Amino acid sequence: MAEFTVTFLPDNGSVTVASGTLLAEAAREAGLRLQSPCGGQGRCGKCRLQAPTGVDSPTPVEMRILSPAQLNDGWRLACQTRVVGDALVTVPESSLVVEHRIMVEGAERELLVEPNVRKLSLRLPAPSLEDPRADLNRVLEALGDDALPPARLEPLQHLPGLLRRSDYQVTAVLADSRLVAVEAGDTTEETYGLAVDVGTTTVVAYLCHLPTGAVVAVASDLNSQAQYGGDVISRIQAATSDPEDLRGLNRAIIAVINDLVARASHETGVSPQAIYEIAIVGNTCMSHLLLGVSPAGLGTVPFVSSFRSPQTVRAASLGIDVNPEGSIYVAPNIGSFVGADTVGVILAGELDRSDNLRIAVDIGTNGEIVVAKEGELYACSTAAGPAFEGAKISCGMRASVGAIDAVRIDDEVDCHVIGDVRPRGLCGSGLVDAIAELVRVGAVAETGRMLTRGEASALPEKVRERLVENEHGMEFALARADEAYADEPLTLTARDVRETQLAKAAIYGGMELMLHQVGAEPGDVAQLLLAGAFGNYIRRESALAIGLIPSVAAERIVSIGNAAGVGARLMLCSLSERRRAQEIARSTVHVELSRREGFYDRFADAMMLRSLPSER
Amino acid sequence: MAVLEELQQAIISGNRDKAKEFTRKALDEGLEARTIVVQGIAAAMEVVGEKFRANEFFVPELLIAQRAMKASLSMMSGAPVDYIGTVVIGTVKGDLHDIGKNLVAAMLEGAGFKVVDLKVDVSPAQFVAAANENSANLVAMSALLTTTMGSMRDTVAALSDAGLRDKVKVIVGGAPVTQSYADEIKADGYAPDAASAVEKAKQLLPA
Repeated sequence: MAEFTVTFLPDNGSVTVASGTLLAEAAREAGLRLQSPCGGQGRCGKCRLQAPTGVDSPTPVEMRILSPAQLNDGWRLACQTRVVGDALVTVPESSLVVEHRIMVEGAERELLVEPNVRKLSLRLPAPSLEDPRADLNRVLEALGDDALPPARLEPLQHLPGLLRRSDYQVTAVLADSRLVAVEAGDTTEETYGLAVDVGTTTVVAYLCHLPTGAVVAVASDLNSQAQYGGDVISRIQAATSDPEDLRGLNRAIIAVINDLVARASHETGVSPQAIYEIAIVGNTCMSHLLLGVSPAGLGTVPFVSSFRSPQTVRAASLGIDVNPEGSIYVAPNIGSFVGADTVGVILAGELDRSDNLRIAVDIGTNGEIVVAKEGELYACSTAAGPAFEGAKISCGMRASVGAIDAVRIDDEVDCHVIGDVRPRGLCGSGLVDAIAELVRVGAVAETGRMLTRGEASALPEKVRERLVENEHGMEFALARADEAYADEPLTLTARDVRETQLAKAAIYGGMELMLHQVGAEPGDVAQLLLAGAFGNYIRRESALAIGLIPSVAAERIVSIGNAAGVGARLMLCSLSERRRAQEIARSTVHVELSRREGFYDRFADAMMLRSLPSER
Repeated sequence: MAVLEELQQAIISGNRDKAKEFTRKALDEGLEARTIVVQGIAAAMEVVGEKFRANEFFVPELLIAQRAMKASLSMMSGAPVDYIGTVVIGTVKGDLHDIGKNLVAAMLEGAGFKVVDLKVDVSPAQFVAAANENSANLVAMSALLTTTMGSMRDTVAALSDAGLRDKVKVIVGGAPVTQSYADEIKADGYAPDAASAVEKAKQLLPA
């Protein structure tokens, strides 16, 4: 088959690909990371680039997304456009995935350090005619009665040379009382583990010193599985329809973890060989894909996962570049859409030990909700959609440089922008703020309708003139052309407000139903925990004002940051916490919301942009 | 007929109590049920649909208008009504999402269709059986997951196999569904939202 060269500007990277290759694939090969929240289905238009030559004609999908003028200028969607000749492609910055800001602090809590992996320094007597014990027996007997021999051959194969080279001064590495490796000299201080939170969007890794439980480095990156789709369902679809995509999804997340290991290692000087254990949490789909297990059952009723219990595998068998004898602990999940990450949230927030009523919500593409009452735990997942992570919102973006993350409206509009640059988009916390403020000043009605300039006569003039009507309906300019990045006005459209209403209704409705599940009202809630990066940056008053969460006194609302990641660290550093996590996964009741009576009826109220529940 | 105009206003603004009150009044004034349905309820829901398409109304307004509409319709039960067509509607096999499907069903009902709602997780065979039993003119399918939308194709095929394909029109919708997907599976129509679904249904079933 014919091959062609595709050159990407402005970086000038070029790749040679077969005729018919999608530009999105060519870009991936060239090391470019294009936005792809819709999973390459041609719906979001976020992977647009300029490719005037060497490509096929625009598809009907592109003709819907792009205007005739844009098509005329060579604008195309990378996910739809195929290479048919040597091509010169210009990639705008707005189509690239950029540096991001995420939660790496998290809620801290005390833990009893008792890791699964321990190292013991041994000064062994050299063999003699009086003491002719075999090498392995010499090591095991020094370790005591409960030490088990290696399950694999490699440690034994290394042992004879190692003992003699190191003059019988060695360090034994034990995992769960089993000898997994022997190292020369005393290396007890060099015992490390990695806790990883694999999110649908973001992956965070904590490098921990196991003897003390201290975090020595934190590294994070976007989950590169996004090239297969921004949400869990599109990845399930990809993994199910093509075994090659299942392998690709698996390799993608392993590559991200390896990259995080390399970065944490580079930053601290800790050798990846010193990492003997990794504890991983993620939603149920992420756990499947990490292990290369098909999530097919999660895609359709009755939504069944392939496994629920914790899985322990050798690092080498997954291709994770730490000590090959290291083990990977994949935490247990609660149900098909409530995963090990939620177990992590419960563990970090100690919801399993609540006497009074507590409710936690992890707001992301899926909103996971946990209610704890008198030792009983209920959890559910609501499909909030990606609105709070930037997709489906016309000017939406993730919380990275250039994102408006807070908005105030008085006589004028005052936006706070991450990185103190001109704004180029709006992230989740900015979206909630913007809508709360627009409702407060009367530019948007509680039903979600954006007023026309004529109707909004009570607004201060400088605010009112930001209301603009065009062929798509009303828009509100958060940043005028002269205030925004690339001199393009940044507007919140009437449609954006509607999308947010749908997303927040899913989360609010889910929380209300979960309270109903335990026979409680919002007033009964002793504590409401907001987990996840979004939860940490969101202004509580705005979340309450638009009814994203039920009316709980503001002082009872606590942001606990990346609680899922904290949970992973607890499981890494403490076997008793790990057992506790298993008990949490086993005992938490998974509530399937779509089967609850009343979800539909409550939906109208849940969509209102006001403090909820409404006074009845 | 001022009472019908007042009924329309009550439905459009989602006032359930007023909708009941004016329905009662219209019946007391001796208006025929079919007149109330066509000139009161359906006319009101058409305005609601127009406002929805104009982005003036959205799901909350639609929901409260539907609630008022249903209150009014329920007072008409037993009275003869001329339906403009019969629709079999459901969320496809493997899928439990029903908010969008419920919206469409209510809009169709408000427009004067007889609606047979098969609820959720509806198999191709169930669509076929219901279309047969009810002599349906239209089959409307919803899917919210990319993993389940394939069932739409299977249902279209099952309708063909059952020899029903020239008797019923098929419309599809739901977040992952597009016009091109509808074309690909040989559905007769695609609607991006509840208001357009009614418009599309009326187009497909010329009186």
